[in-house]
Amino acid sequence: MKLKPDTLRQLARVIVATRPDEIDCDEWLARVGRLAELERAGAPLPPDLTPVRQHIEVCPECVEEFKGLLLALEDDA
Amino acid sequence: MRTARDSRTNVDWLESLRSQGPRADAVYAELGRVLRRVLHRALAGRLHVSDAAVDDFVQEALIRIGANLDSFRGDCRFMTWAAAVAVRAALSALRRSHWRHVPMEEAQIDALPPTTEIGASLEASTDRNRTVQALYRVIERDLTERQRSALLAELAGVPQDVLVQRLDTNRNALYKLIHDARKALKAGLEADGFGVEDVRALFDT
Repeated sequence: MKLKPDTLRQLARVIVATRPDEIDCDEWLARVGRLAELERAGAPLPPDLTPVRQHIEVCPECVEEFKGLLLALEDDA
Repeated sequence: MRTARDSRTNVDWLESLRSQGPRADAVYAELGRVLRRVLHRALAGRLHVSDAAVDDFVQEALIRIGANLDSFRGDCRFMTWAAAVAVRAALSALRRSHWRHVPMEEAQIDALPPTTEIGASLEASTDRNRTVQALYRVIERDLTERQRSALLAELAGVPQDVLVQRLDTNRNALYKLIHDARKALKAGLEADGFGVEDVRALFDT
């Protein structure tokens, strides 16, 4: 088996980012609104949002959705 | 918290959406108009997303929002949460649509083609090469076939909706399957003497 260099790098990234306890995509969706608002405001993230931030380091679909959400919120400056 | 563009409080939104009759109809219509603008921004730059498609995404989002009002935690603006639901609805539909046109043999998660050789930048370092070989070893040794298929398929960009169908499971169970696979890889590498810094070196420049 051989993986493309980019795939290998992505796999390495998600292995490094893996934590014993993670939230799933449904819980992430319920909590991401607060993360998005705080990041847009440049505010520090409280510890309880760490799992929400970590989730987008390991879930390719949720990171795509997060980027879309940040774009969607741009008009609310 | 309100913004100039969102004149309703969270309580306003929830009470109105839970009401019946013309009041609820009017609020859903208002929400739909806002979500249409939201999705146009969120999907900006993507080719082949028609206004009609966005309208479909908005309708799907309204259904999901209405069915899941109890899951809104109230820790952000209601519109932010609604936007997140709408973005998920839209992107999920776009992914499913894309994969509908992918030939079956390309989408088979148990037959992902071996791709190009490891890049020169990775081969150049002996340490990195050892880590890469260890990673391949752990993938083969420590993952079940189901874990390996799911993880590699996700890395290949196969949408979760497609994987859920192919594996006859649900989205949260799929996440757990892949999470277990990642944990097994991390533990297997550590057992073989390759720590986080060795793995990090595979993607750090």
